[in-house]
Amino acid sequence: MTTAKTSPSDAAPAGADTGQPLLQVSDLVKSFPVRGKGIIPRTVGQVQAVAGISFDLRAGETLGLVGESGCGKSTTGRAILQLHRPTSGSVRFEGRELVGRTARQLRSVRRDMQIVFQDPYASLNPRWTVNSVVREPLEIHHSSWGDKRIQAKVNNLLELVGLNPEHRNRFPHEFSGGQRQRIGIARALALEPKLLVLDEPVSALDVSVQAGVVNLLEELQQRLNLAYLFVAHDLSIVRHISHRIAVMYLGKIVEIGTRDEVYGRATHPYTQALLSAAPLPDPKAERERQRIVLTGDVPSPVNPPSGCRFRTRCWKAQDICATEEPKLEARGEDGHLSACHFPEVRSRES
Amino acid sequence: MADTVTKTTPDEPDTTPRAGHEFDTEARKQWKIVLRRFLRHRMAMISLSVLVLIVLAAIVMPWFLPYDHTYTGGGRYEDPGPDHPLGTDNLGRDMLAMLVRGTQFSLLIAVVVAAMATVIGVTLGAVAGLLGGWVDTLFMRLVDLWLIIPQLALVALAASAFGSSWYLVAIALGLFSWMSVARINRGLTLSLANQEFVEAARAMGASNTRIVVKHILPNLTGVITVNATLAVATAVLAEAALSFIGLGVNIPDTSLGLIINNNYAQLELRPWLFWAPFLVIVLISLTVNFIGDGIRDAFDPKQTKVRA
Repeated sequence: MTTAKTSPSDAAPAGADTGQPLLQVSDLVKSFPVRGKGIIPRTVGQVQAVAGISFDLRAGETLGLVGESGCGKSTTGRAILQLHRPTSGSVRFEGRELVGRTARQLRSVRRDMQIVFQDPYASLNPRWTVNSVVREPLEIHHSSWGDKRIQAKVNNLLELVGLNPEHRNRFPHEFSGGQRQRIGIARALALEPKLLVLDEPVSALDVSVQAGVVNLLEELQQRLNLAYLFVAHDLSIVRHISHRIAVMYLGKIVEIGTRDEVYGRATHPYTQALLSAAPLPDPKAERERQRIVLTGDVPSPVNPPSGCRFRTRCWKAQDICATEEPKLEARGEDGHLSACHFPEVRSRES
Repeated sequence: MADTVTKTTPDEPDTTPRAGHEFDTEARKQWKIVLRRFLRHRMAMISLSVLVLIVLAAIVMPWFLPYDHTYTGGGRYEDPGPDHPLGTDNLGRDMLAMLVRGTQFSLLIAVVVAAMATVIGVTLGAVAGLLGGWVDTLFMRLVDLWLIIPQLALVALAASAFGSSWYLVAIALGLFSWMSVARINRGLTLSLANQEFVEAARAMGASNTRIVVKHILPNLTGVITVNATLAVATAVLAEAALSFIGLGVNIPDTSLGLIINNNYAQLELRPWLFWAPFLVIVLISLTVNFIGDGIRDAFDPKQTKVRA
C-alpha cells in the first residue's frame, strides 16, 4: 500500500485555512486510578495512559498517531472526544475549550467530531438494523427533520460509503467486516462532522479489505474536507494516509512531523526502531533492511522511568536521560519536533 | 427501534420470486420477526398452550363447578366419584374446587413476585452497571446486605404482625428475590456499557436514559425474560414452601402449597390428593421455563438459521 500513487501531498492540504487549527491539544493528561481490593476499593495508584501531549490538527488534514499497543493512542482519541474525561490539559475545537464541559454543553460540539472504532463487531448494536444504526445520530440531533428527510439522509449515507441502501433493514451480523466498518463510517458521517477520530479503523480487517476502506476514507476526506486523527499501529497504512505523523511511546509523543520528515529523517531512536521493524515491499530492500531490535519490555505506566521514558530500552542512553526529560522541540536540520537529547538521523534511505 | 420506512410492504410472507429476492429487503419490523421466531419455537408453543389452559381453567372453572373452596359439606375423605371428581379432604372440602382456587393464588403470587424481582433487579442492576463508581459500590453492597437477611424469619415476623394474605406473601417473596437478577444485570450492563456501540452512542451525544432504554435493555431482553420465568417458577415453589410451613396463604383460602401441606400424609392411602396439586406446580414451573427459553431465542437476532 505504500507504493500507491494517490498518497496525500506532503504540504498542508488545499483548502486548509491558515489561521486557527481545527483542533488544538495541549498538555493533555489522562490517568486512570488503580484500585486496591476491599469492600470500598481505595485508589492505590495512577496509570498515566496519556502523559501530557500537545499537537494541532488543521481542517482537511490527517494526523497519524502511531505507537505500540498500550502506549495511549486510543486513549488520546477518546480523551479528545471527551469519552474519557481528561485529567488535565486542554482540548480546543475551533477555539472552544472542551475539557470540563458537561455532557449537555458538549452535545452541540459532538456533531462536529465523531469516531470510527477498531472492532467492526463490537461497534454496532447487534439488535439494531443498519437503518436504525445510521439513523440514531440523526434522531438525536435532528429530531425536527421528520421521517422522510432522515430516511433520505440515511440512504444517501449508505450510498456514500458504498453500501446498497436496499440492505438497510438487515442486521449487522449479516454483513462482512469491511461492510460493517463502512456502516460505522456512515454513522460517524451522519452529522457531517469536521473531525473524525479513526481508532485503528482497518486493523481488524483482512488486508484485501483494508485497502478498500482506506481508499474510501481518503475519498471522503477530499469530498467532505474532513480532518482525521488516524490512530494505528500499521506503519505502512499510516504512511499512506497521513499528512503528518506523531509517534507515541508510553503516553508521550516522542516525535512529530510531516510524513517525509518522520519516515525519511527520523531523529528519535524509538521512531527509528519502530520504522526499522516494518517490512519493506521491495524484496531487495527488504533483504538489506537492518532491524533495530529493542531489548526489554515497555515499562509499566504505573511507574514510568524518570527523565526520558524510552531510556530503559535506548542504546544511546546517558546519565542526562535519567535526570532530565527531553522536551519535544525542533531538533536536527529540518526542524521537526523530537524528544531526544541525542537526535540524529539514521543513515538509511527508504 | 420501530422503523417506519417509507417503503411499505404487506405483512404476508412473500413467496413469489422476484429479481434479487434472495435477500429480503422488506421493512422488517423487529417485533414481527421476534413474534415469528417465537411462533416457530415448538417447545415454547406447546408450553404456552398448556399454560394458557391452566390459567383459563383457574379463571373459568369456578363458574361451572358445583362447589367452591369454602364448601365443607362433603364427607371426610370421599373417594373420587361423579360428585367430587378428585374426592374430598379431611374437612369434606371438594378437592377440585380447592385445586382451582389454589392454582389461582399460586399463579397470582408468582406473577407479582416475578414482576417485582424483575423491575427492582433490572433497574438497580442497570443503573449500577452504567453509572459505576460509588453508585455501583452502594447498590452492590445493598445486595450483599439483603442476601444475608434471613428471609424466612422476616416473613414469619411480617405474617404475625399483619396476618397473612396472598398479597403479603407475594410482596414478602418479591422483596427477597431481586438480588440475583440485580447482580446478573449489573454484570451484563457493565460489559455492554464498555462495548464500542455504547461508546459510539455517547460520542454522538446520547443521554444515559437513551443508552439504557435503546442500547442496554434490548440486549438484556434474553436474560431478563429467562430470569423472570425462573422467578415465576421459583415463586410457585417458594410459596408452596411458605404455605407448607404455615406462613403463606391461610384457610379458608388456599394455595397449591397449602393443599400439599394438608394432604401429604395421605400420599400412601389417597395419592391423588398429593399428586394433583404437585402436578400443577410442576406443569406451571416447566411450561414457564420453556416459554422463557422461547422468548430468549426469539429475541436473539443470531439464533435463527431460518431467515425470518
